[in-house]
Amino acid sequence: MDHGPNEHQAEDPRIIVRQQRRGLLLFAIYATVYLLYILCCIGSPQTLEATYLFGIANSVTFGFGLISLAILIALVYGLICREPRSTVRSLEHHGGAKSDGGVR
Amino acid sequence: MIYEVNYTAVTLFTLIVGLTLWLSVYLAKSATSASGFFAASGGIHWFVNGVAFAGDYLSAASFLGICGMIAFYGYDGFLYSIGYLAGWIVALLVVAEPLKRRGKYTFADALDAAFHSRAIRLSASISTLVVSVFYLIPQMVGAGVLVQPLFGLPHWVGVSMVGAVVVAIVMTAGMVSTTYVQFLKGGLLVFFSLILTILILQRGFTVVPEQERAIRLADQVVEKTPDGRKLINGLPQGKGAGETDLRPVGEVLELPGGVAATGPVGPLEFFRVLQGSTIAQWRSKKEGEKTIYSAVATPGREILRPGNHPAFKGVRSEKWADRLNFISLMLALFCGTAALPHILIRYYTVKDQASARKSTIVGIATIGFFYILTLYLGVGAMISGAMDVTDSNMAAPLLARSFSNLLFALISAVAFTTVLGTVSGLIIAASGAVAHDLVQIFTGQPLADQAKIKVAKFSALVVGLIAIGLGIAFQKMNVNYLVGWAFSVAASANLPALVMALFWNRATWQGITASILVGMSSALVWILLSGETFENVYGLKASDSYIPFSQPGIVTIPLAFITLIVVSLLTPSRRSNAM
Repeated sequence: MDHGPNEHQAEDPRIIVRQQRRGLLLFAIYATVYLLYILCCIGSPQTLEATYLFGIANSVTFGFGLISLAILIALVYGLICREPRSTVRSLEHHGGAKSDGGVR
Repeated sequence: MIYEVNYTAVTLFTLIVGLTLWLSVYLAKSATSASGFFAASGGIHWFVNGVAFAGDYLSAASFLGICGMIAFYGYDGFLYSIGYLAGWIVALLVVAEPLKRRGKYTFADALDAAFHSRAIRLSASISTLVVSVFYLIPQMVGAGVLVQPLFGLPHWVGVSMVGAVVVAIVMTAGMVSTTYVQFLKGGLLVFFSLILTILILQRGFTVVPEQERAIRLADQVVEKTPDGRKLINGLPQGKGAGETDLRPVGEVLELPGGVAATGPVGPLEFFRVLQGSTIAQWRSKKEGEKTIYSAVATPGREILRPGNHPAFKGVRSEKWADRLNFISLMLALFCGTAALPHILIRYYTVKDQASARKSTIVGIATIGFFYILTLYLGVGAMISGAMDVTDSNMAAPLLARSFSNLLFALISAVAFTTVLGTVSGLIIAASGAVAHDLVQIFTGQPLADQAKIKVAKFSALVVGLIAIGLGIAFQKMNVNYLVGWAFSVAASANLPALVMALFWNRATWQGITASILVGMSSALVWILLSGETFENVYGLKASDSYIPFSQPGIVTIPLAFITLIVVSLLTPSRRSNAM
């Protein structure tokens, strides 16, 4: 089973930088929520014992929420990055050669 | 008896080991080049790589450790689940694509891409070896813990078995076989955890009958005699006449509305019922050579709040040092994932940056889903009536046995593959650091492909033997505790250097080298001098330590960043012109 060589495509640096910025923004959002959760744990533990949603303790809601938020942010980032990055693919989108299925 | 030799489990273990070895031999021809051996020639599909991320990451600490911690202490174990997953956001949004763009085989490649510095390569490879060894110890200990009760074999046999199988996997087909073993393990782990969760919800809660309470809630006394025998409640441990054994535990004392059983419950109702219940939690105290385990009636609401486990007491403490310790641990978990060398090298196994990104997203979804299940598994074990009061690491397999012996055998076999998958990744990372980085530093030039593979295989053998030795030597150490060390060292040594090398143009090779060395050594010194290590490793009083709290991250991660910035600003910015 030969996996073949590692491929590298020429990518448009401007698009990479733009997507990187969006990624860092999403990172900042998640890091802030994570920090708030930690501060809530030590600063207001009674908040975690209370029940705001679904009749279950906030500790569970917030915990599941943080995990779900991580998955959601990962998916959003995946969607953001669907725009074409490589010059090769950009040309293909403008009527060039057939795609090899590399970058979306 | 809590443990008996389970022949179904033995058969499944043998089948899984046979399957992984067959897979390795079958894939061996894919690893004839250095690119094939270290990075599967960059030809792994992103979905396979994503599940393999889960297989690589969900170690014995995640499966056995977290479930056990939740089963014994409630919500605190779930804090690890939250922290471990949060770290993947750093990996996806900060590290994944630039790392893939710059690297080839090892973590040092990406750091060194713009500098070509022997100093960076040397410090990064030392850090890789230190982190990998710290991470290997708990995996090997976990293997021994698992095999000992199931096979009735001594701990060292279990550790040696895992070591031998993993070295065989790595030596035959390197990263290719390691990837498919991890893919298999990741898939099996999530699938069977889901099955267990469904069974837990179907079973619901049942109150221990009044007539059984006196027996099932009585204290259990474990005593070690001077000649090394174990006494349970004053009698020798065993199955024969005049012998006795530990009683399995995990009782519900009261349910909301005074009902005797709930029947099947939904995923949210499960927690609503728990909150209104009273559960027997088991606490131990030492009296000389005796350890006494006693049941404590605990309201379910308390089980679902953080701060019950000693490691998380900071959550409800008035002392600033305890609070900082908690913040420091959560910071290390957040920053540690994206700095673990065995995780980072997985980015080289896919063809491009888009695949690196997509595989991380699949990894996050798989790992996140598993971590949600850990809370059900832990609480399910807590009320299963099947736990070993002396060993939290066995909570998940024993929970499975409360349903059926076949499920017990399956979960034990999955737990065994958990160890195999993670150890394979660690050994690949360590052997890559030796063959690709260290040898190049000392010979002054890169090795030829075939020579590199030979050195890597020999390194895998040596690292495997070291891991076996350490797994036997550290038999008594707590699994999660050691993984915490690895995260702290990785987060302090590797993450600042990696982030700044990727994103700060003013970083110099001197700054990066200094950051790795300062981060690694400061974290190690802090850990070795901390109160927790004084108590758990040296057998001294925790109060004798001069270190105010045990988790180093909150001090050592910023210290590594500051070191990098200061040294870089003090040295000339000349990329690709380094030592």
